[in-house]
Amino acid sequence: MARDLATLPGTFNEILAWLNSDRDVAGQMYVQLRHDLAKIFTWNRCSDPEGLTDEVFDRVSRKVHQLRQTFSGDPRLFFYGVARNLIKEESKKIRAQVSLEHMDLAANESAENHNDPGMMRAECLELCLQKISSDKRELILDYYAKEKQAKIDHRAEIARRFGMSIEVLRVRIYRIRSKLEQCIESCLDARADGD
Amino acid sequence: MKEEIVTDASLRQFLLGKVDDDERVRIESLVITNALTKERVCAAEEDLLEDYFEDALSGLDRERFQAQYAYTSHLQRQLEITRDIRNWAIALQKKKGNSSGTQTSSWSSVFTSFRLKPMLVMPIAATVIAIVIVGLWLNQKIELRNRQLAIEKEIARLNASPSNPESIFSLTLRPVTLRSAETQTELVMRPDIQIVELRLLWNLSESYSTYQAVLKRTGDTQSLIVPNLHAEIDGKAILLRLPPQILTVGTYHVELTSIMSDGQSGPTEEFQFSVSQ
Repeated sequence: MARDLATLPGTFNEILAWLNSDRDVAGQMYVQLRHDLAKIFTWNRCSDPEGLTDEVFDRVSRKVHQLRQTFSGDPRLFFYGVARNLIKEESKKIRAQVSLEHMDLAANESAENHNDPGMMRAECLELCLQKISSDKRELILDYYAKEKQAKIDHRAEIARRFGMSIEVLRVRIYRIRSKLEQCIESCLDARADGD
Repeated sequence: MKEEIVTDASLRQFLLGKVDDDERVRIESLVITNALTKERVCAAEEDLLEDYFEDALSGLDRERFQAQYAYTSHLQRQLEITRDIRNWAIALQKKKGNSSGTQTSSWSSVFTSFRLKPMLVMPIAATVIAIVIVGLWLNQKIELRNRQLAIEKEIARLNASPSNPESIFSLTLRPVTLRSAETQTELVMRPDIQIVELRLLWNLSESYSTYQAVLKRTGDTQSLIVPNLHAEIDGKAILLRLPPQILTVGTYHVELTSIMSDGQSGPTEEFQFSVSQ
């Protein structure tokens, strides 16, 4: 949930209603839109994709009542337009901050080495693998079984086995892997907070 | 007919930050609004990550990848997590292969166990049949999608480059709000028409960098999105070119949206016309 919209139920409801008249569908669109905007900010090398996504929703929430009367077309494109404006604002900041970013990364690296991040990631990976279903675990295992040229035929075989195209298989793997990554990140954050 | 006009090659260029702003905005808009494009970008990103981990990117592309996907410590951690997942799978498969002597897939062991459980044969047969049916259905969907992609590519080509005027059948449309009592414009299809060009009159004073049209036939559930349209030199009309084979008898509705230079949508006009033979 956006950090401020949850405290403004009226505005949040209005945004949902603008996205779709069916509240369930609108809820799904809202979640997907947040994910897509965060991705777009990452692709544009913005420093805080989640924070900027919150900012998009904050800005739209200030105008949503008026927009519902005046805007025609896919409302998601309006959110995207606001995101583009934020990207332009960010790009001016990035040019000023790029040298400091490298300094921060070097400092973080030395701190992480002290806590053996590789071992922590391995432990979190093991925990998170237990949380996904065995068929998804097997699928990921099978998908990455081979490397380089051999993997192409192998993955075509997997796709044929499951009666799907290689593209659908790639997307399915992407989704399973994304869920695992989110789980591992949460695990690592929880351990860092516990330290 | 909501399909995208992107290829795996163009998506890789996009993910490596090698496209210009217009193309970036076009693809990002499609990611936001089109589920199929979204999935294709995910799949392309999956491939790109693999090529990075297998050291299969050129030196320049590797630098670009790191600039796009590892420019903060948080993103670097995400990359490490992704690599860990792959390495876990590769290592475990190698271990399985070494311990059993031969590499067996999970399906082989499943079939082996079924030989010992004849009562499971019928449910498995039913499942296999269901999978085959789903596979055939998916193949059909893929064929339809491929046909649709071909149409989308053709439309993009027609609207991107100038065409021989002799091959164009032009139809001027006025916005619905202005037509009022006028009869609806009718397009009578003939076999000799090679390109249908809709001249969508733009009556607003401001002109915009690009326009996007959404074409829908009354009664159909799907619509056709055509982005990156441009106005004529005097700005009075926006040209939308279509291959005649996609137009069937019926009434069509066109929603034309202006796109500002920052990617935001501007004013919209609506048009209608009918097709007969």
